[in-house]
Amino acid sequence: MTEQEFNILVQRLRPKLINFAGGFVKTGAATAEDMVQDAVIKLWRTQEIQEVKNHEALTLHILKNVCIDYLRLKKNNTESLNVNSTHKLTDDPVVALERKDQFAFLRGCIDTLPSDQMLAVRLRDIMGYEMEEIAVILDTTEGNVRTLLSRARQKLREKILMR
Amino acid sequence: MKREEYSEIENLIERYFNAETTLEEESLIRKYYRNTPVNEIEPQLRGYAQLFGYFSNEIDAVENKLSDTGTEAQPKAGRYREPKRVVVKTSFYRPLMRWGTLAAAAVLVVAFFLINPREDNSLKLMIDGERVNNSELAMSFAGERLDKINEMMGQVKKGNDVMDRLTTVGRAMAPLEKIGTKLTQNQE
Repeated sequence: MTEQEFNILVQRLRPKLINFAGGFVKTGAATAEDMVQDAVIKLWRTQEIQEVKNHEALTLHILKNVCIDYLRLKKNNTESLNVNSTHKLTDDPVVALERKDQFAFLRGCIDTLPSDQMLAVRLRDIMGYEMEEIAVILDTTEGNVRTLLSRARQKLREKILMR
Repeated sequence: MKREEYSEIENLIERYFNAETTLEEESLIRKYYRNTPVNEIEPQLRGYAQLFGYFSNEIDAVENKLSDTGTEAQPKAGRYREPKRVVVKTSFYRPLMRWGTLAAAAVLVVAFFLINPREDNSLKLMIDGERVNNSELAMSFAGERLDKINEMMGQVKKGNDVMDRLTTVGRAMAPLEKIGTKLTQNQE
């Protein structure tokens, strides 16, 4: 893969990655961007050693790096509670406010999950990856991903019903 | 909502929380919550609406960003852009529209057949410009006509036989003609 091809691929994937990283970095878009940038640089270095064959695998590689970066970041940082979730615009401000409130609550629920469970939920329910792909990204087995996911979902369920 | 539909979705949701659903089934659940008005959702399932609503919203946000870069030829490197805000139509009218169009189509079809009653007796018998509905009369009339046609065919066949005979005679006469020409050559 030439440098140019690599750049084009990463360019196309970048928004998705930033969105994914932005999902759990609450300090704002800049940090998410830094994380993705770091991951891409790391990938470029390993890519020189081993050939990347398809871009799906490339995405998974970068995502994996983003996740690792996140886990490292979480160890060192205490995060602010700045919710910057996207929300639908509706005509009725009351409905909009209610929805914003709901989404903020859910985001909070997902963020308070243990980090691997949270990653599993994000990768599955928002990014739409198959179990085996998530297993590759999180560097674990498919069975373990299933366990993580079902625990995470059960916790979310409890929180929602208790509200 | 129909009873079986309800139990089906309830079953799906139960399996969802046990992480046993496929990606298709999960999108089915999201679609259900997106397309069903809140007051039509069964009370037991209503609580989960916000969860799946949230996921739908996040998925839309990711996809919007992806399609943004797809249309732009040269996205600026390293620039983070606000996700495009999209006004999503309220879901209440969606099922209504679908069934509404179906109903309108059905009404049109029925009206068409009411206005134009079908004329299925495409075989009509007219005698002296009058329409005949008596089937026996029609049969006898048709029989008569067919007999006449048979008769005519017989005449044609007779004529044909005559022609055949003439050609055989002609063929037999052909050598005589040759002799005629030979004789005239000798005279010269």
